[in-house]
Amino acid sequence: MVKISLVVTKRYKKSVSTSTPAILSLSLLLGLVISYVLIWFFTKLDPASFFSTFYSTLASYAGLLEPLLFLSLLGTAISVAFYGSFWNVGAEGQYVLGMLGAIYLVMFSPASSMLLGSDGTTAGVAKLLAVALGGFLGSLWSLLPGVLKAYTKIGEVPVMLLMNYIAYSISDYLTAGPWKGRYTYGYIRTDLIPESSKLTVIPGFEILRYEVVAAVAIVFIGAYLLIERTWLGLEIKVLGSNPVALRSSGRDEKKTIVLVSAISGFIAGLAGALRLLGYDYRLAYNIGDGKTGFYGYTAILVAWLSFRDLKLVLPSALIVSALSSFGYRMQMSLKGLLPPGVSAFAFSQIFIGVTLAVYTVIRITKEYSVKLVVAR
Amino acid sequence: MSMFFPPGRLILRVVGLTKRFPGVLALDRVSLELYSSEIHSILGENGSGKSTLAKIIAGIYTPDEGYIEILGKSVKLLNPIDAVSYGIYYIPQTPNLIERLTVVENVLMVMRSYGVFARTSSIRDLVVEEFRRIGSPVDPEARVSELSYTQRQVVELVRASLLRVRVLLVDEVTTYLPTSIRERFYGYLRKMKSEGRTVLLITHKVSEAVDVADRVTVLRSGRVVRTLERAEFDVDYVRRLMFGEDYSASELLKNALSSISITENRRAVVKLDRVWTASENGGPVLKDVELSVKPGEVLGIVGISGSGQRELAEVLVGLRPVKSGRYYVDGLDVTNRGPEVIRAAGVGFISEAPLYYNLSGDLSLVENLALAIRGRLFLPLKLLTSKTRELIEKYGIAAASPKTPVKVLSGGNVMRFAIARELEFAKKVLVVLNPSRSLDERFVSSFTSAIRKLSQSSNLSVIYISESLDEVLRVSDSIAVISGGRIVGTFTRESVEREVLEKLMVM
Amino acid sequence: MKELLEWLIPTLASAYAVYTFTAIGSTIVERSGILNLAIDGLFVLSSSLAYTYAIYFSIALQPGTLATFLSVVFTAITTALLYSAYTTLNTVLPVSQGAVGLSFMFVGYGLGAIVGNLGRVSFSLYRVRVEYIGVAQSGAIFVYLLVVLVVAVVHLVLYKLKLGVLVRAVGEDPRLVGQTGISVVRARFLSGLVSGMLIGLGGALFTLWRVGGWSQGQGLNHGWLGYAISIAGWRYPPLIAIVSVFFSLAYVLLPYLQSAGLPVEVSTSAPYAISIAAMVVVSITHRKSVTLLDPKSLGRAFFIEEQA
Repeated sequence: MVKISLVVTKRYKKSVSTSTPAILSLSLLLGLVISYVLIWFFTKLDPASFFSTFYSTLASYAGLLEPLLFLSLLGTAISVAFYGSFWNVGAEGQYVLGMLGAIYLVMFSPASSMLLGSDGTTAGVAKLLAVALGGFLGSLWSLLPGVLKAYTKIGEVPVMLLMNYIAYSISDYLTAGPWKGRYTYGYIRTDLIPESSKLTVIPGFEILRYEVVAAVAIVFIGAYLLIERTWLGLEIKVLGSNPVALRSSGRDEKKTIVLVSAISGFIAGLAGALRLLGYDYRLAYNIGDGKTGFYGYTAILVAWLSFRDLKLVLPSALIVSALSSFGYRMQMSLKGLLPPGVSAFAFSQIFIGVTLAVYTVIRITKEYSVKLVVAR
Repeated sequence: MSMFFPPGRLILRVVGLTKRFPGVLALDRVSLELYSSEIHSILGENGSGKSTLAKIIAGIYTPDEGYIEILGKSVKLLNPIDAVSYGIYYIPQTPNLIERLTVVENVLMVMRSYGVFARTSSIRDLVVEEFRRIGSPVDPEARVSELSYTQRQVVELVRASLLRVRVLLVDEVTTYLPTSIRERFYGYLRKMKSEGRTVLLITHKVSEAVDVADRVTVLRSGRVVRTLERAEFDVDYVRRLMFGEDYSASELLKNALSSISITENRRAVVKLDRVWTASENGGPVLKDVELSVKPGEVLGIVGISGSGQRELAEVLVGLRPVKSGRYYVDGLDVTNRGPEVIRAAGVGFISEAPLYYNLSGDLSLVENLALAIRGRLFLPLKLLTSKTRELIEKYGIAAASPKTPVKVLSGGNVMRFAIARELEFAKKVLVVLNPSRSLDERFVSSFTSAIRKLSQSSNLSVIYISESLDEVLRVSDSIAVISGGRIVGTFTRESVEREVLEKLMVM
Repeated sequence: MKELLEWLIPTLASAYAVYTFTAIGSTIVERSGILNLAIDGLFVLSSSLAYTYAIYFSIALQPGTLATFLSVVFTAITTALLYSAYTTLNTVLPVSQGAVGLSFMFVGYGLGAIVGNLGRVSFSLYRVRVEYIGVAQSGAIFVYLLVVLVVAVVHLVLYKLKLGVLVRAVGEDPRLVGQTGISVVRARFLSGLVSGMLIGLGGALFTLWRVGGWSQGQGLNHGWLGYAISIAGWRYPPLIAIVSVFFSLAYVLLPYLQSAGLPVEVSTSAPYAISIAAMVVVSITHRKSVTLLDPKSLGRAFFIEEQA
């Protein structure tokens, strides 16, 4: 009789962190293959069109820029939280709250009429305030699960997933109610934000905005300094790797959880505000129906792929941008080959889920040695 | 008993087992033969590889080289499931029982003859009967968390007996039992033997091995020194085999440390006043604990594993809330004021598991040093790095650079670093919890002498919590015994008798 | 009033059945120490599977009770297999249970959309008149009986039989249990199987009974409701049976209040807010009984550590 057994042991000595890029590319490759097999099982899609569509997604890199920017921002937000083992799966909701904050400031607040007057000299201040308010609301939205985790030990993951839907509802309520627009051609949505509050297009790159590119750079450098150079960053890292050591060193574990949740939520809210001011310009009803691009969820994969290594956020965001654009491309270019009604959403979710699973499994080789023992 | 073999039959043979751990050769080509109806003792110091050997026979660890034969056939034990199906059962020092389940549930769990749909009640009578046969009644419906240490070990024996195991591995189980209860345990083991089973008794106590075993195999640094027949048993000879040349040295150390410092008429630095605390389940784990430690005094606290030592240490450093009672450091009431205040009051902590309690393995030495300090905004990286270099040199820590993550250091070096950091930063009080669990014997003795020196030279008060009576006797000025969460006796070093302490430990 | 009750009781009962099955299923997985973050994705997948199975069986046999029955059974079996794969993967390898849970959630959402659409294509192709689970009048009573039976049997198994002892033991300390020669993988595989069956049953009844049709995204979040009920009931079947009444009532009644002027967004998001509130209440409640405590090893990676 042949017996097969997996022997898994924790390794202390050898650190295999150098192979991280290899783990990333292997996860992507295996993730694609497994996703294909899953999709093939239901659709009998031929491999040539599947993989050639993926190739053409990568080739049209310009289309990846916009998701890349937002996934970098949100990925950084979630990564910072991951350093502290705060599993921020609520970036989607924080992102929506950021949109609400921005649109409130530029359209419905007393400040809007004051700052966005005819001459436009103070429009920059309005934009800055709008982004700040978005960040603030995002951080409030993230603070609640942070406080609950710190003081009542409730797992933040289910709370945040539920809160994402509440955020959608708040947005829908405002869009259909108090903030409903007058010039909407029968759609339920807000009016467009004032022209002067829109972000600035970079000439020659229609898809880019100065402010967004600047924000990505500032947030990224800020996050790096926070994590690697400050006492708070050290505390966040110890919280994530060994909370008991944090406490026995005489630090307040709870305070650190709350702070890291607020910082992470701030960045996610900021991303939402930038999105609204730079791309969407309005809120539409049924925002949970794909109108956010599900960036807040997709960015979870970015944070996992770059697990506790900020340097890897950008490459991971690129991979994930390709994966999520791939879903949309498949829907468009394979229309006749797929059952009608099968949406980009379905493909994106499968790619993300499978890649995450593959990565999670492969990653254990960094900390454990896995031996397959076969006995006769 | 039909399933067991007549005495003297070769049951299990271990051939050339080798096992390496990072930086350690735990077992070096170990071979051993076990026969039916024998009690075979594996004797060795801590770290000699005896537990590793037992765990390989039990299928918990897999060997790097070598093999195991059962009844003449080579077998691969990939996991404990295989081992149990060959009739091998392992009882560790801390019993493998689930605390929140009842005794009956813990027994039923391991019984293979009962299907998954067997009712818990169906095995109750059998369990009661077995307890009666062994002669130690235990309430079958009690939760394990309510049982004493001795009772838990009896539950393990009952499980082994009901499983009809052929080879029973007993790992340091009797070490901390007082003489009278230990005698009764030997009785159980002899009964097992008389039924045709094999008992492998793992111990580091020569007297224990010589008392009860038919044969003794001595291990030293992962190698078999010799296997002795009963006729060759001679305590001094066995001891020499066990310790090698180090024997005389460790004896010397014991004598050198017997000078006692007198620390009377001084105000206590640490004072626990009728302190109670609760376990995770909510039940009390420390009951009415009163302690006081004077400047420069080393108070040893000894007890068998699971008597509340861990919880006591956690209370002392502020990790565990006090339910009632007060805790003072240098006159300051620090009850439930958290590690922030307690650490600032000058209390340091060296634990059995530095990577659990004190350090973050993922972070570098520099960052872990920084963890012991407070600051605002930006880290003074240059300063921290040079301070880390200094400690690396001063304490002889084998680390490639200050930026090396702590987890890649060997266990001994992690402990050294943790000790270095705490000795640098503990101003008034040092809480030490089971250091010998992660240190080899030799480092323990240099550590204990360093502690004694430091306590006298810089007036440091030390609370030294340990499971090892030898260690506590070696290091302490006064000794308190903890049992079932209570301090059951406090003695000065001169006034104490070993036998009294042993009895108290399992009360 | 009489009108309200005539509407309320069957609606409430069907909601109760769906969420109770789901919550009990989630309870078993988590009692065995596996964090059940996969629940919402697999609930969505099973509710889509039920629809497509129902269409296929209706085409292959004929629309009716048998086809519906078979589709429920097949959904339960498929979900059981998926769940046992989930618990097994989480046990065989020391993976992050959170990440694996989320990835199953994502894949569940994605596959659910594909599977449901496949059914819809066949539906429009063959124009089958699918007579959904005929239990609305005559068979409902069997589902209610089944709920009671499931709560009772799961409770009995968990606290009176060896299977339950194994499930709870591996949820407490899998490493220690493994050292006594018990297969942790097998215990968790079995609990995944049973849980998946119940969660699949919940998903199937959701589509075939409560909704009576399928649209993309259907079932989203209803898995989380089941999860919240499981936690609010301290992962203890008799309490879950009680807590589930209140959740179902809230879920059924809130939309009804829309006619009384409550904004639709409030009524759709209220169950989630209530779930969070319930989790808060549960976690700050001091639990005297050991039985009600969280499993000690919930969500922790399992591996054998070799040390000198």
